[in-house]
Amino acid sequence: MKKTSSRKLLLFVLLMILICSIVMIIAYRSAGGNSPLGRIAGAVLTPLENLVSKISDGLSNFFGYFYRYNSLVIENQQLREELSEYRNMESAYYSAISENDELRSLSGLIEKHADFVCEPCSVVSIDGSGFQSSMTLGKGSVHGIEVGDTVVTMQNDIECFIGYVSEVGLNYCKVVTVLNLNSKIAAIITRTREVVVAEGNFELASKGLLKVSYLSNEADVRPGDLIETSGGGAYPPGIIIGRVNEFTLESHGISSYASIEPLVDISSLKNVFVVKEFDVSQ
Amino acid sequence: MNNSTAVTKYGAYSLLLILTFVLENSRGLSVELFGGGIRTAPFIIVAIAAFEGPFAAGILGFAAGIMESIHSPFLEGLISAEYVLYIAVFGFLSERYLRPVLSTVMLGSVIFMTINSLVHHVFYYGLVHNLTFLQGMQHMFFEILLSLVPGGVMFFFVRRIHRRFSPNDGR
Repeated sequence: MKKTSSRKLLLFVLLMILICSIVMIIAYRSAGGNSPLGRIAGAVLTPLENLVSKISDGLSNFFGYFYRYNSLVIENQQLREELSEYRNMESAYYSAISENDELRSLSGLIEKHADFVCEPCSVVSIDGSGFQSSMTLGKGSVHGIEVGDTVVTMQNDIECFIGYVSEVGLNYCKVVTVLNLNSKIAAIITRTREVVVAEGNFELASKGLLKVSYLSNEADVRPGDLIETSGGGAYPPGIIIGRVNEFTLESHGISSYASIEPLVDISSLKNVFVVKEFDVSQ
Repeated sequence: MNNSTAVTKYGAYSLLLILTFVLENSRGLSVELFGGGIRTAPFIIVAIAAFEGPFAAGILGFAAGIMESIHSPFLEGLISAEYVLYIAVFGFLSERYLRPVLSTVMLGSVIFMTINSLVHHVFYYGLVHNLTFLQGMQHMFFEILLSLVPGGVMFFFVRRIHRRFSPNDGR
């Protein structure tokens, strides 16, 4: 190899140092701290590094299964535990939402009926359908619930009559709903204040309706009229039982009846209130 | 050696530089020990200086400096200037007094990295960031230690390229 002369080398070094100095000056004066040369190098090298990183990630993920098996098992176990924890939290979250809704309804009910002493209860099961309609609630005598207590719920700020407590255990109670054949409720038609009796009916119960019987054929009853409890001892007054669905002549023709549709779908209830005490004088 | 062979040879050197730089600095492949990482560019440039002389190595050293400045806090052109100055001296001495063998290149590279790191640690990390001398030495030591084996491998790549394109050079 031909030897380099000292003079040429010195000139070369001076030239290169000059170029380096120019690059440094340009880089120093530029806003990003880069000269055009640096920008070109960055533009070429960065995508390459990115590509290599992606390939490296892919290979690491593929081969990681083999050499990280034990750590993956541990991580999997930890994640399962975390998932379980989060599921519990989710359950508590939904429970809190449900409780919040319940308390909101209760506050609305108490606002309207200051004399009510209510016990919020969750519906544990719907025990029968149609004319046997009943349900079991998750609270009982230890919570102060007694046989005959009225069961209501709130629907769009309207208190709706659901039924009454027919049986009480220590921590549960059974409720006969308005659709049940055994239910007979002293009621009034809200618009006309006519006193009637709402009761469960074998035929209508299968359609989710109850019946107001012994109405005169000329009674002023219209579809859409609200029927509410009349009070008088057994149940608190002013609780909506339902809405008149149809006003029809009985088959014998002597009187008429009205079929009543409850405002709420009893079979889909989740929470209700048991009215333990109320002011009879109202 | 005709022009096209020279272009191919220096293209191969450049490709080796770029490839090693990308592999060293890509996420997922970069290795680090006590702050020091693998740095093979000095080994490649010193090996090129040993085989090709100071001019070619000086230009490639300039390019390597620009590349290295992408991932360093130093002003662009500074590392290039360091490469040019050192390679000029090493290339000059290498032509006259040294044989282009592994030990020469390893020693030359380690000396360059030591000088380079000392300058950076004293004038930048020490003065600007108050890094202690011990921390600087630790960083430098582990960088050199990690780079020795891959740097040694680079010597053989450079020699292979040199012999492929300059078979009658005798080096």
